[in-house]
Amino acid sequence: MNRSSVFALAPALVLAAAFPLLGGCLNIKTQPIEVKPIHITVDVNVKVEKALDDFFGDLDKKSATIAKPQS
Amino acid sequence: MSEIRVGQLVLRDVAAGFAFAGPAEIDVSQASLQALGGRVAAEPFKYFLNLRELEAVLSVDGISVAEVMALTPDLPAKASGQVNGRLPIRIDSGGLRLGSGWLELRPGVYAEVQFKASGLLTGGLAAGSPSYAVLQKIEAGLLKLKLTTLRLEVRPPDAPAGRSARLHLEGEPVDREVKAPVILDLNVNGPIERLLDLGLDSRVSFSGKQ
Repeated sequence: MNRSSVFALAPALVLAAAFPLLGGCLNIKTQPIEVKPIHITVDVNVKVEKALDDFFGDLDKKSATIAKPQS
Repeated sequence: MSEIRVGQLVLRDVAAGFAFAGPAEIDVSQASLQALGGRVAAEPFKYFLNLRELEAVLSVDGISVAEVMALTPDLPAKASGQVNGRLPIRIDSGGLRLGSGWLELRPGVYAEVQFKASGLLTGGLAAGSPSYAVLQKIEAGLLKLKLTTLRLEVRPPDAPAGRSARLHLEGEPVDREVKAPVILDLNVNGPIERLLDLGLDSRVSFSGKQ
């Protein structure tokens, strides 16, 4: 190996020698993912047989408070 | 009484204090039991033997959200946590009916929800919007939400006709690297009792839309 080729390889040799040192210093920072608040409204529709529907429909027509039976 | 099974419900440590107030009237001064991972106690009520119906106001303490949700088949979500609340009930030949009451998260108990409902949160969003990817992960169950608020209002006085319940959820992804506050209001139209599969009736189906 002549003198000029040693100089040509010098940067690569320096990098190779430094790489293990750099590896110990790697520090990657990640930014939290931020999304604006989202407000979702979902309707769930309960389907029942007509007889049951009638039963609950009748009850819904009554007062929202549960009436006490007459003693 | 150590254990009673009512359909799918297992009631433990059932205790009651009562007195006959007449030939067909029983005054129940106190009643309590363990169910769904928590404690349920009834406020004093009267039971009329000839009417074959029961009305009472229940105080709920520390009931498991997971066990309550397990009463609804095919629910597209899993959740943990405990709830407290107060619910009037009526039981007669037609089954169980809930009156105006509420359940909400028990303070100090960790609660989270994991959805499995594609389109629940992204249904109204453009696929390229910044929040789309995060919300898609939440609705697919890849990101769980830590719940800060959970409140179920049953037959709220201000609800429109036909609406039997309103569930309000607020939460953020459990992953602290993802800041995506989600507020979800779920309105139940039709009798909420039909969503509770107590093992007594299977004539029910439900559908949802945004």
